[in-house]
Amino acid sequence: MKCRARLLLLPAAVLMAIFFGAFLVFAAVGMLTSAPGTPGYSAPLTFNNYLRFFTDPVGLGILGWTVIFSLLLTAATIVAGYPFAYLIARTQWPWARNLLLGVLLVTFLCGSISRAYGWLILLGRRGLVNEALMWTGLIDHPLALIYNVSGVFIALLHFTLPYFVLTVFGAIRAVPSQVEESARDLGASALRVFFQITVPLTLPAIVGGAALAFSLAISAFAFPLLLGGGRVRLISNYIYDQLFVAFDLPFAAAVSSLFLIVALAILWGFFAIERWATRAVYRRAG
Amino acid sequence: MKHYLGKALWLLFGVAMLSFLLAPVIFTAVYSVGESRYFQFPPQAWSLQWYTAFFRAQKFYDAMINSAILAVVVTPLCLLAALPTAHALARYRFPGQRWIDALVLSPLIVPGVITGVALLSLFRILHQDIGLVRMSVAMMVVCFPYALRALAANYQAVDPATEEAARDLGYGPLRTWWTITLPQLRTGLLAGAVFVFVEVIDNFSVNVFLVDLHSNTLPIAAYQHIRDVDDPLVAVMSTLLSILSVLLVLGFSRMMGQERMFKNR
Repeated sequence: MKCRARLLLLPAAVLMAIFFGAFLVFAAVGMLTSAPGTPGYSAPLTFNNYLRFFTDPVGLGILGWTVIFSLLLTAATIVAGYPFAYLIARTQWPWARNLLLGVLLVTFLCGSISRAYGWLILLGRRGLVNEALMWTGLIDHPLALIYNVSGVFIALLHFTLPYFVLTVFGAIRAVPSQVEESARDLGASALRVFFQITVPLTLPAIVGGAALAFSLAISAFAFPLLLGGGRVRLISNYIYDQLFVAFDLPFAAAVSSLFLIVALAILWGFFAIERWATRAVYRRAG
Repeated sequence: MKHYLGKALWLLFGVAMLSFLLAPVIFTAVYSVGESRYFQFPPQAWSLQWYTAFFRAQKFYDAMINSAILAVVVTPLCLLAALPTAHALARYRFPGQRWIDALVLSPLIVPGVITGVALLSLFRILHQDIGLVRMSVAMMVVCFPYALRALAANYQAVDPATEEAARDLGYGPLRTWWTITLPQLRTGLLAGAVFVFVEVIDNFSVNVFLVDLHSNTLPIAAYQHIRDVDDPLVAVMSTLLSILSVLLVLGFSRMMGQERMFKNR
């Protein structure tokens, strides 16, 4: 029996061996030194690349900024996405639910480059948003919405939103609306019901969705590349530059290893909170 | 009065979110069928000239072929690798199962750029220089969790009793799997195929590290075009990809619908 299970796991084992083998090679490459002016690299093994990153204020700043940016984006995703998921789950019109879910699914599948490009058109100097604002007379000069942080933020919010909403939507549906109704019948205000009943009961899903949004935000690469115009650099773009501008694979590998550790540590934090929230829900339920 | 105000606010919020979600897709499509080289709204004249230009452009044509090859190679291989894994995880109990579960899904949470750089260092050491080979292997590894998750969810809905009944009637394990289990996995296979296909076509952050001079995929070609030229060719590409994904979703829900019809009968 065991033997057969092992045989069945063979394809997965091969793929995982490639994946983790790549990471082993890569952590080792991070300890090599690049030969100046060539794409090659050579021994001896040192920790110089890792040390170089820790003494480089630019790189450290970019890593710190990426984490802050991703946390802000996660917060924005929750604030915009949770009420939206609530609306989809609780609307009385089934056609509206189907429409909103269909739109979410289509945006979800539309592809990141396409969507980044769409925002490039909408937010550009001659884009629709600026034209509309000028037409209403709210502004008299076009706002700089792309090639800065705001454009990257808006487009990334658009990217993370469907993941979050689709995660949380199911959890809200699973809370029986009778629970909310009885609280309302007992005299609780709508806001109080929302924050004392619905939100706590769906907290595990919120944290899970937030972890998903965060992991998407922190790995963002194409969005800052296209909408940041070289001025917004997140850690992924910094790594890309090390590779294709400085041709320094060992340093890029070292930065990536450190970045991976930071990203996984924060995600682990999210999952710890999720476990805690799940236990809290069960405690409430008794 | 207060009740109606609340309803109106929710409606307003719903419409705002809907426009936010759809705006980039819709205006890209409008841009692609306008005559002007620069974005205008509303367009002064409609034209399909950018579509002809898109299909005539050699770089987009090559990229389309490369993306199609990748998708056609990776999608079935990924599902083929995920099928036995899903079976083993669903039908056998062995030590360390939870760890294997988590391990197999790990490519999902590692940022794409890191996976890209890591695989690039591996391929450099193996002296593998062919872009399409590198990207095929990379996409198999990256997309494997999508295929596995879809199949694992489906396995939970397959009643082991149907398999046991077939075994009692004298079917061997392989024949049981082929005639009893596999047909019940159709939705999982379809869902997995859609996810893998979409990810392979759309992936940028991993593939951009592994591509060679002759194997640009659509997103990479699009990025280079946006960087260098200002015209609606990428709007055409985006619109075509959006239409493709809408068709996939529609076809998928239709097949699911038929599945349900069969069950009711």
